[in-house]
Amino acid sequence: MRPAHNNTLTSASRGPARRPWSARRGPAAVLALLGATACGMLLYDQVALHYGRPAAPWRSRTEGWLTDTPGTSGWVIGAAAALALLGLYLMVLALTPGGRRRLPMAPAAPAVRAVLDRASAVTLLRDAALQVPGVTNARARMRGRRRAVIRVTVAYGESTTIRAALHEALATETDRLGLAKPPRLRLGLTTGAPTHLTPTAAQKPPPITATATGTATGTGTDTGTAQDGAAENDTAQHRTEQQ
Amino acid sequence: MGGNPVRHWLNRAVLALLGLAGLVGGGWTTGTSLDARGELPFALPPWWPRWHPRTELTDWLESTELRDQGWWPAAVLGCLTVGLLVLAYWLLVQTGPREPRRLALPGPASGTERSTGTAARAPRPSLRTAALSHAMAAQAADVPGVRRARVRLTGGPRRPRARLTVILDTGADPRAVLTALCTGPIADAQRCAGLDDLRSGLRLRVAPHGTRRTR
Repeated sequence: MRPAHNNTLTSASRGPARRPWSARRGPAAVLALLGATACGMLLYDQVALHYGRPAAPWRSRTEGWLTDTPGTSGWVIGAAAALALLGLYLMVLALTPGGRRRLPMAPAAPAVRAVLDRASAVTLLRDAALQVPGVTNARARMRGRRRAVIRVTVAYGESTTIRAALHEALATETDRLGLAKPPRLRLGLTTGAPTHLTPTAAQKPPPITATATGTATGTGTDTGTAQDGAAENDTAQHRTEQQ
Repeated sequence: MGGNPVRHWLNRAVLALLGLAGLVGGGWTTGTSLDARGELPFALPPWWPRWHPRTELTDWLESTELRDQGWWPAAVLGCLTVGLLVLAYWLLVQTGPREPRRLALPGPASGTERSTGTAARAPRPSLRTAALSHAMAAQAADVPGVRRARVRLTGGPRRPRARLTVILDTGADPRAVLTALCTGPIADAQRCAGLDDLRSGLRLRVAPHGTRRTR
């Protein structure tokens, strides 16, 4: 699938970013580490035996348990079932492409492959939704690699207008992501009261911004909560007045 | 994203084989044990091997008297050592790609080398890898919308491969950034270092940030 020496011509002519296969370094490293540890412990024990030292207690205990436990014991069955499940999981890891958290981008130049993290795509979509006037809260997530679900809370404004604006903003943002296969968007609109807006400590803007907006709007610090971190530009002030 | 194809297929093959072994061994033991307890709701198919793994194995070991042979301890030690070495190597292969110290540059020497034959003695022009990767990273960080960039040139001195990890600003335009990177640092590296077939892998991320409320 990915030959060692694929020259630029073929990789370019193969066209739009095939999905890159993960090298499965993590699972391989875990397995190698576990196996190497087991081998090392056994080897140490064997060498110790060779030089006349008694077998390590962990080994005699394991051996005793293995010989004493009948094959029909619940423990044996449980361990065997767990082993079978683990084997199935390893086979799934080996045979699937993986890398679901990275979305291939449309090729911009030959011999260049780019991926965008799925979490980053979600963040950008959410930010785009939050830019739309009237939207007070937005949550985005991807279902698999093909569908993005954006849930939006709208505090004020006409919902059809906002929906149209959201569709446009999200379509633009999806285009800006530059993905090889842009995700399909699904939009969920909730009308919520602005009382939702009371910011928690985590969402409060940094103090410098707060004082800056406070002086800019004059009322920002008094009216408190929602407009506090937000009134940064003219349109925002305008909207505050509309309320 | 690319990387070492040997490692890629080695990992996948070993994972598949180990998974198959675990699935077959675990499934077989589970089936046989449950059948022996009479708790299996269905009968095992006729081809199912019914002998018990552990007793059969220990019986076989005792009957062949392998353990009494003079070479048995040495064989055990040898197998364990080889296993340890192989696994340690497998673990080592998983560590990140290494950068060559210097990259071979296609200088004038390479053109005349074949015809004269003596020019091979002359030192081939080369470039410190870190110099090129730092230059690429600095140029990438200057692209609007890029907060940080890290570049590694892996894959050997003759056929290097650039790996760029790019952290984007909040609200950046990934497509525009990608285009700018391709025409900027990547194209420049190809042109300046004479690496016409430089392959590049980019990973774009957005710097994490809290929820921003609308105004």
